[in-house]
Amino acid sequence: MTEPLQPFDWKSSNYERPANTWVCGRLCEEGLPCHLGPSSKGDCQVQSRCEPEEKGGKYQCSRSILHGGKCKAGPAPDGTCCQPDSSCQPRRSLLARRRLLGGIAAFIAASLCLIIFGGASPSALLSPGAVTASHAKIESNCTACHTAAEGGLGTWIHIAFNDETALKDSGLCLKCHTELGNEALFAHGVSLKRLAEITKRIQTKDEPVSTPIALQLASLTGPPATKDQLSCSTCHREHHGRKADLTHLTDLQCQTCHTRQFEDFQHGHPALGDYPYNRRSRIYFDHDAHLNRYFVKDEFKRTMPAGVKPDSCDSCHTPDTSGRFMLTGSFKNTCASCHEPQIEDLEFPGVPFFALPAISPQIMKSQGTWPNTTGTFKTARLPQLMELLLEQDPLYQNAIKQLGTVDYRKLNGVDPDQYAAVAEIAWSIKRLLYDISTDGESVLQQRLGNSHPEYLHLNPSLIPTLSQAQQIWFPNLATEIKLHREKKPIPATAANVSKTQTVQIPRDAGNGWTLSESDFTIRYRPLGHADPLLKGWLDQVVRSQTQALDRDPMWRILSNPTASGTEDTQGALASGRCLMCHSVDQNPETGLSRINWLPLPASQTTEGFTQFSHAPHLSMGQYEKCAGCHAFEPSRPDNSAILQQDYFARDPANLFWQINVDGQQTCTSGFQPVSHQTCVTCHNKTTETQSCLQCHKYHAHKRMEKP
Amino acid sequence: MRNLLFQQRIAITTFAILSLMIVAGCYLFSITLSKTSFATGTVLLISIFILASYQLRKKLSILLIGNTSAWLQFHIFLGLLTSVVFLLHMKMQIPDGLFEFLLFLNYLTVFFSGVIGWLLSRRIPHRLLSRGEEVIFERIPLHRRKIHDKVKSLVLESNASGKGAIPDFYDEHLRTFFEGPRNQLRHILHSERHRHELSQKITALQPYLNSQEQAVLQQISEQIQLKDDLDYQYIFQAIIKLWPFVHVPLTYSLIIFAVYHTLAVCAFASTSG
Repeated sequence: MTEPLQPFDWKSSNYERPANTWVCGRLCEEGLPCHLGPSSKGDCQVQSRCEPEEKGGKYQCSRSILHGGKCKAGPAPDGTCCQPDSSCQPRRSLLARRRLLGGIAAFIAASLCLIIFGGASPSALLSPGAVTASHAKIESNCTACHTAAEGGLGTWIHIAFNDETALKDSGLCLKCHTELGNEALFAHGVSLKRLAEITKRIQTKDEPVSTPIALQLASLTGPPATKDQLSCSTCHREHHGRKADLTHLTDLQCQTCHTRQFEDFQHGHPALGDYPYNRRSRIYFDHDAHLNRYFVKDEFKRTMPAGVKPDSCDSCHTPDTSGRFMLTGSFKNTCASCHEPQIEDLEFPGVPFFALPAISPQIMKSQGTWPNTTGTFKTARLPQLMELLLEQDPLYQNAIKQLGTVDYRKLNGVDPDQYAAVAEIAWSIKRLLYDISTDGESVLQQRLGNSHPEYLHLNPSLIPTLSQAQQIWFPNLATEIKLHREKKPIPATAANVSKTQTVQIPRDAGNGWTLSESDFTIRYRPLGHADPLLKGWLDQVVRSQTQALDRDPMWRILSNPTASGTEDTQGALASGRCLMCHSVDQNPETGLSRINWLPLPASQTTEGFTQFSHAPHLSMGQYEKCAGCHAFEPSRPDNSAILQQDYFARDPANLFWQINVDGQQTCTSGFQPVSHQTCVTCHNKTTETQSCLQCHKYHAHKRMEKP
Repeated sequence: MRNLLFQQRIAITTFAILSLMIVAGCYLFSITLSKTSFATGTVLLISIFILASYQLRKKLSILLIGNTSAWLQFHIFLGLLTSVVFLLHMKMQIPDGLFEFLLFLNYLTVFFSGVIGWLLSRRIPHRLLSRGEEVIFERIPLHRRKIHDKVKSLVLESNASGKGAIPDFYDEHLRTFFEGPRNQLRHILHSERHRHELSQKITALQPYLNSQEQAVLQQISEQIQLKDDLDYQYIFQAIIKLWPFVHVPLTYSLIIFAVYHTLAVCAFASTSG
């Protein structure tokens, strides 16, 4: 039986101090520690040797009692100590070594951090990872995205405690992403007011919804405050690699701010409502009437012998290059075969721009030439352009005043004491014609001022036709005007008009102006579809006038979707006039209107929360036919009348049609809204194609779209 | 023992529940489009400080804030829990950036060294109890010296007759063995081959010794056993003493890296998260 190695009695067991920095070197080397141990500074305290002292010519041991007292042998005769040197080199304890290692590790880490963080700008070593491929070009330029990168460590510390940093950095994002609009940092990129409107509208819906439990619990942690601006990084997290998807969000994340929350598209998604017919189509086209009434085989051949009937939907509609939009074919390819003759309507006399009222020779005696002496004038007023041009003529205005209420159809029936006033009207018209003939467009500018820019620079120009009319109707107008201004009598020779000179400017000349000697009018007849003069005139008018378009006589002629072309004739709706098919949208805020010349907007002016791509759906076998989603409304006799109401309305007196300028009204264009259930047949849990982002866009701001 | 098992079950259940709560909380937090990395990062940083404060607690033993054993249990529990938070913080991906990769490696080293240390501290005490006498690690050189001196005196004693069989045997086979810690790897592997080899050599020598020498050799054999047990104690105590040489110093560097990382994240993380 061996003795225990380690006695623990107080006499024979040393007190260990492992927490001390130094331990006896002899313990480590030989297992023979001294009782004293090293000092706290790491010095060996064993001093077996001493400095012998000389006393009376003899050396004596000077070792202290603490170090063993005086030795028996004593110093050597030469004064050196007889004891061997038994001191050791103390070693660091384990704890001290660990502490030292800790210090070294901390020093290395701190040095490394200072190298990485110490520069005037962030080191590339600091980058937490590669940015997406779309941002790769600016990856090396930290300041492009981070305001913190503009300074060093001090700036970072300051910025780290600044709540505005994320929004400031988002401002840097928007320096490049200008397409996101001015409200980009607000929820969905729309103004707070608009967002409140949408929220209110959704809240008023009564559809029952079941909020998923995850969203209920998540709401306890607090969703982002949508009343404030949101930084881009709320949804877009960078530095996750080249192939990272910056726009990925889960359905629950999309819904976290939403008022109405539901399970998924298949379960709980609100009904699509009127989607996609959230507004009327820009071109008034009655699908139901065309397909079910006009295109009936025998009837179509009879009514439109030269017409080309579409075979299917894609005869007129094809997807654009992006696959998103279904484009409508051009007028030439789709409508022209039936409607071009209606536009070129030979019975349409044209829009009157200038006319000579009928004034009897008795009134015009000694007043020079007046060609229209025996004819009839069909309207109570002069053409609007003439009225506008004469508005600034004081003599004309004076004459009107003298006559009181003027009816140009009955000028010859005035009292003899009013003959002078009628003659003055005639002179005013002659002066106008003379001025235009001699000075051209500048007269129009001078007389119209800025009030009616739509009549300036008409294309094709009215001036040559007016000059021509002057030469034909008033060949001696210059002389007559001169004599009249000098208040001299006008000789009869000057008043002679060659009755043989009758001119009709042919339409084939590429100019829609016609000068008619039969009723002494200058009219404009459209050259065909997209006539430049009418298009330009209409665009100018809707751009410049905000109110009372319907009171404008010219507008009433051109906007009147009848075939009459005169102020007084109000017929039934008929194809062939511009605004019969091209609807007019009025902006309720500015009052300005816009004519929809194209089926799709040149620029999208409303928020686009929803995006739908037609192309992939067209390739699906089951829904190859458009009718799978776009089903006609159940056939009713008043379908066309209902659709018509979205574009035209009767005036309060129920006398004539007016253009309906409210473009935002819901209009199904004869189709039933797309059913949510129709979508669910393919977009469901099984196919995993029902995420929010499949159909919805977060950035719903007004943006430019190029279909 | 029953109580210990019950405590373990409680700890495991609590760990599982807390882990689930952390994962669920992180998921719910992510639904609200909040930056979960900020949340998990904050939890992680605070946890690291708390874990590091265990070292401080050991030094400030005068503070009556729970006994060290309870602190150790809490340290282990929280340390393991940080792994869950860390995985969520990393989004289960190895970071691309150099600095973040350093931080990642640093954390992993500290974590796994801690886990290994924890497992060793559970296993080694049982092994230490299974062999030899419990000794204070710092005194092992002293005991070794004592054994060696004893053996040397026995060898000198056996040499009184002048035949020198035992001294030769000592010089050839035992001197190196007694001079310092030996067969460390074999002890770790729980191998006793070296002892069997020595026993065989001693057995082979015995027929050539007289009874007095055989008695001395018997005493030397006992010292061999004692020294071997001391080596066993030494290597396992050394292991327990040495793993904190990885765990503790790297904790300091981890804290420094984490603080700088936090600073950088707060200043730059407006586009990431």
